[in-house]
Amino acid sequence: MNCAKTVSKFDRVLSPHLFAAGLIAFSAPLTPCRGASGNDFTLNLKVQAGRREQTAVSRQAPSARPVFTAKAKEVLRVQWSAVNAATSSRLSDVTLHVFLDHGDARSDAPKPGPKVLFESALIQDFEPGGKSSGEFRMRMPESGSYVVRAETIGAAKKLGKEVAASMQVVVP
Amino acid sequence: MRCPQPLRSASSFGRALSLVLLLTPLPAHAEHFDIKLTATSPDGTTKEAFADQTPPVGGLNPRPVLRARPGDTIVFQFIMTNVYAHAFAHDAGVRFFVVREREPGQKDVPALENLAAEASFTFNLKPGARIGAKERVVISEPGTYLLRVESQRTQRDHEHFAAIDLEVR
Repeated sequence: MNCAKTVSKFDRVLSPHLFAAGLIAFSAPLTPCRGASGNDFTLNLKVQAGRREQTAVSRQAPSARPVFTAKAKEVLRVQWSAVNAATSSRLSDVTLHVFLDHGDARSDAPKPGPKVLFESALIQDFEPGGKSSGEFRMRMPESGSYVVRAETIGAAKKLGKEVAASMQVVVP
Repeated sequence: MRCPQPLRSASSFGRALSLVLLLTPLPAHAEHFDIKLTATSPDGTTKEAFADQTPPVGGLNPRPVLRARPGDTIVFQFIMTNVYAHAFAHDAGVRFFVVREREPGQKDVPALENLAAEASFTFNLKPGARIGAKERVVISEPGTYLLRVESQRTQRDHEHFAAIDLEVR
């Protein structure tokens, strides 16, 4: 088993410092395969606190990304799901990367910093119709502007582009 | 086969996570999950836990204890790898949580109420599947807490987990 190779790939996803390099490495083969398109792969993101909730979906323009207002010390519940709706195209070794950090969701490709509040990465295959989901809960630590984002890394090999859903979380 | 050992520690999270992955030995027997869980206090003290299994309740390994103060930000992170070559499981899961417990080392898992932190993942598990997460959590209330990451629904006769006790005084 080539441990070093596996380690390197995964580390690029979770490490803020190496994230950009990881994106470049992952997105090098950008030629999409026939039978798959970015529209076949959907990411949904939902944020809840108390009785309030807001959703975001992939393919929203950065300017149209929704905003959710939370209170300081309030518990935030973030849920996401990913679906490969293609009927014949299998996506292999796709990394599903999710994070919550200080930042602006309306920037093109927000990235987590070294003090990211939550970050996860899962490497998996998506069969036709394949799904994946997850959630986390955390208490918002302080006032500020946060970005929560779910994104693929490595899907561009088949889809021609990466897929992401983002939301702004504002704590006044 | 074991991964190569790193020569030194590193300060940045990225390097630390890389070391986590490098340090984690792959088991030679038929375990299906390799886990490394770490908890780090603000002064840099880090405790590590590795894969255990249940049953029995609470597993076999003693849990390390990380001591912290109320209001400290604790950084938790885990890496899990499915190292069993034949383990395909649909809708398998991984759950990670921090919950208050009666005492350090208690065998039973407390009721998952009023969790200090929680994350869960549902996915189709394949050989070599790898999942990792990190989270910063502020523990405000003094007490003893269980930090645990565990596999779920892997369609085998046992599940794997790793756990650390957190004493906030």
